Amino acid sequence: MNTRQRLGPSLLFALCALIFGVFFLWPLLESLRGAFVDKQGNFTFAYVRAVFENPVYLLGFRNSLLVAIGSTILAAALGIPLALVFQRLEFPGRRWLEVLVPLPLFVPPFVGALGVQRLLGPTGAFNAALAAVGLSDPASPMDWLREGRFWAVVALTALHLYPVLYFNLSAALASQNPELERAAETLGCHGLRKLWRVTLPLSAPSLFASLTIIFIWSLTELGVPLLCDYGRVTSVQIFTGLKDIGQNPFVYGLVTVALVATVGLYGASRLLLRKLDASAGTKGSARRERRQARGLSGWAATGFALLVLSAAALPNVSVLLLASSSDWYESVLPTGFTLEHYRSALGHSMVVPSIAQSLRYVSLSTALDLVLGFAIAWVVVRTNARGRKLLDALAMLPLSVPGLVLAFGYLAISREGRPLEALDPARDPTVLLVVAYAMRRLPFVLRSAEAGLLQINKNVEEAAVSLGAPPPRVLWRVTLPLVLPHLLAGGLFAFALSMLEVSDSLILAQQQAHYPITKAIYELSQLVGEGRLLAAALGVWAMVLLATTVWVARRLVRSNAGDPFEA
Amino acid sequence: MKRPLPGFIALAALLIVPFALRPPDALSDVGAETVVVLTPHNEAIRYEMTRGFRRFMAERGRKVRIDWRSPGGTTEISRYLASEYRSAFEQHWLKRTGRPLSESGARGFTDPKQSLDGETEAALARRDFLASSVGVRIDVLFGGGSYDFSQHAGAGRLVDAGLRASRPELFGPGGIPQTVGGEPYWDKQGRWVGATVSGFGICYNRRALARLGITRPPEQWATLADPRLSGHVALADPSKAGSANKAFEMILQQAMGEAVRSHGSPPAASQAESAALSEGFEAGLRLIRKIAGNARYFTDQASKVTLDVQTGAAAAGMCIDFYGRFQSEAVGDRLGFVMPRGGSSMGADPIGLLRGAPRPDLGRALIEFVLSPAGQGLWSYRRGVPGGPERYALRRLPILPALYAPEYAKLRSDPDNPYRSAESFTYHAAWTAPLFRALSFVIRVMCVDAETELHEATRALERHGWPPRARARFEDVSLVSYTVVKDEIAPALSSGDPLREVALQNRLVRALKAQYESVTELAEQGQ
Repeated sequence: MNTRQRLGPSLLFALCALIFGVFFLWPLLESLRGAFVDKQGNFTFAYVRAVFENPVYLLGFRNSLLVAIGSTILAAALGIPLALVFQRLEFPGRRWLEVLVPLPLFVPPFVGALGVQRLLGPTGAFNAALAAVGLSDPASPMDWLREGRFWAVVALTALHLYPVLYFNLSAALASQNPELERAAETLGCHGLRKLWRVTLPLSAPSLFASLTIIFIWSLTELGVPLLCDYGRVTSVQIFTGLKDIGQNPFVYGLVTVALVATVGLYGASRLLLRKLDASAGTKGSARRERRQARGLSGWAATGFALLVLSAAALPNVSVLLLASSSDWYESVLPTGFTLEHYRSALGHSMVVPSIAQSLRYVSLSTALDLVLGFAIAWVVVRTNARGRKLLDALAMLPLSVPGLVLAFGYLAISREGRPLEALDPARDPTVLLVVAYAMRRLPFVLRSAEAGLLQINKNVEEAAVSLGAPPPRVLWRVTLPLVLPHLLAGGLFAFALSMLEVSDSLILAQQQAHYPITKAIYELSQLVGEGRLLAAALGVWAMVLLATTVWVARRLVRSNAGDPFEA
Repeated sequence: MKRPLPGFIALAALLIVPFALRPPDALSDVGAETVVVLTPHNEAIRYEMTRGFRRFMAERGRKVRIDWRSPGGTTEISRYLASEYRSAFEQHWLKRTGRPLSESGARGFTDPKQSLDGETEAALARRDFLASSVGVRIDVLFGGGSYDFSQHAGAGRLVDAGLRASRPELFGPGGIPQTVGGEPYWDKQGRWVGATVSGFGICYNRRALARLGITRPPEQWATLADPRLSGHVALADPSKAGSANKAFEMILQQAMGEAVRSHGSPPAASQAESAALSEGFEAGLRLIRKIAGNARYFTDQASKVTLDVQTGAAAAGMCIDFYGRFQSEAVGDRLGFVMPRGGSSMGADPIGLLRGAPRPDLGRALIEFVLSPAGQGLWSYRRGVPGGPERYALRRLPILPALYAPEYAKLRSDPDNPYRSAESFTYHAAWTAPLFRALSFVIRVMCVDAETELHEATRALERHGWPPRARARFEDVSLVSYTVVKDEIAPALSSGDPLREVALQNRLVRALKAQYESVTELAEQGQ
């Protein structure tokens, strides 16, 4: 390798590290400084140590870990069979049902909470349905969100997150070389044995990458425990600790501990991943045809898919019903319907500019994620640049950093007199919101890009090099097209989740003219009286917009690079 | 390959809908002067105040716009202001002295207890800040509690807007009293003034109460301790929401007032009064503990309480008055709201001019507008009446006593008169105001941090008919008595040493958990 060839990866590594360092690590350290500075301004480790002496925080850690384990197991139990059924079988209604898979990702968390409360609260639809068939006493209805809080959190988290596993596994399954499975069959390896010995091991990088994301996400998930009023988990303790009336340095100690735990878990998962080399079995030339599931087995597949998808779409359906209801109390369905909430919400003067702003912020942040995510993944997987593993581990940290912590960090580095004063969000939050969204969603694009690169057979790239193509040309003409479906799958996640990002938006968008759509929804939800109904109506509109955008994007991608989820 | 034309058409249609429904903007912002306002107020208040202020200024030949800044609720705003002023002052200090501000200077420049005498850096910084026009490019702080405004004023972030000199009639006879029922309505140094008035009460869901066998609507705070409400009371965490802490303070103040009266109202600061106050404080804490034993949750958002009671997720809750009134109007008969008679003061929700305001003239004009009959009408009049709000009835009580004259009664949304309500309750600031933060700490460790154990104890007591030893153990509040709060907890919290605070918190949480567990054990043994 000549000097120029060695310099390229090093420069790219330095650039990635610089962007990540300036826009993630620096604001994070600014925000966490309080955890390590005592009353006299000296360094101290006492606040972090005190976290381990607090019985409430310790209980929070324990509960968070249990929620993460339960949610990851349940998400795997739902996502793996669902991906296999959709990717391997042709069954009645497959195309229509598949459209519903990403729905749980399209509902703004706090709007989804409003809907689920109407379903599972004491006067909710579920109790009304049970009472209607004589399974519940209307005089003493069950409060599902209170009595079974832990299990409600586990179930709702898994139902919210299983699409992450579904899409990553689908992309991996679709890109597997079908000849390997055929070879296994000819050697007498069929059914579950083939699945266990051939299919799943070939998808291991994607499977473990998405399980890691789900585990860490569940560990730090905030929306669902808040919805269930389950305060004894670390994420909620951090969130509410940041709102303490007095300054509370221990909450930053808690964030520090959560960060270290995340890095540790991520490191462990990387050690596991290193042992998995699935590249030999992927990116074959033959296209796989789905097996026709006829008769009872076809309808069984439809029933299974329908069951999982309808359970996962409950927040979406309930928000739709809530937004369309004139009254919904102690009944299975609303007792009256109206479109008035949509008219009031969409006709609000705050809404139109917020839509334009959101599309602007999120398009830019997704583009930044794609560039940065691919660049880091390439440095990590394809080069020997020093420090690449550290960069890779650090790039996963945004998953465990609460948005509020990062938002306060951005405020700190852009104050008057600080180096990034020109980015002061009070004047214009565009740059900070774009990088905030991009940093928080970077792990999704990075994991997808890495899984894609790991599954490309290096021989293909080496063949291009041996034919005289310079490295940039190999990257552009060979690597990028092969990894594009994975990148776009991650990009679509990043787009959808950034459109629904709440905490950065609340703190950084201060002037009404700069509000993104989530802050507009939040503002409307704060209106006493009809606020929740207006928020639900705008939430429905945002859901439909996101679903349509993703649908259009997938069709566009399919015509150019193959479906990111089907390939 | 099919082109995704239908998808593009659907996307275009989705984006067109909000544009088509967008209301025409009657007033353009082009060429308008801008006043920057930091506020926790919601969109309804911002909308009506913008409209009213524009008209108010247009009548004076000026075209204005309000640049509302909302980085969150009152807590976030306080933190935002503290950090922004610190940063601005550090820059000012560096420019003036050529050296960076030390940690003691940074702590001292907004510390109201910091002596102005001497040559320590803290004293120098404090003097310099109070004499400066260091600002954060914001003109006005609008909304929050009088406690928060007093803190900002004490720190020096708020300055005299000059209204007491320019509009003396507002503060003289017939104007706004300086205190009502013990609550301050304006700052004597002119740094803030109440814009509207609010109190605390109980919101309740009639159908949910009926389902639990409660047919009479709540009348007093003690109603929330009814065992039939176990798991059905919505409460806000006082360490997160200042308004919730204020509501709990009302329970304590009422109990202390009753104890003092029952002891024949001994002279202030006497030993007898001190004993009566201790007794009342502990009675109040016992009631709070029982109410917390019925809690469905302690939320970090005060507004969630009313909304959950409305949907039946909770049967009753403690809330600020206008949430209760507004929400009960929105959902009709199902939701009710009551202010316990003699159970709440009526506090001011202020407005004030910030130090270093870029447009102090416009800031003053906004404050004048908010206190004018035109501004006060927007708070309280029904929607659509002359001088009333255009789009949202705000259901807030005006602070101007003149607006409670009979001729305005038909215009106002609510018949309540805070000046009359205040007659049944006197807020004694000396009893609990210096302990305001300590109260939130006590309720947090006693009720929020030990929530599970408290609920188990309450349920065990209910199941076994409140056996005497278990009851006595439950009602023992000696761990957080008035003396402990005054002499141990409050000094620890004001020491500025977080380690001392957390050590105290850990010790109390462990002790309280053990106490509740022993209550459960005793109750289950029938003792």
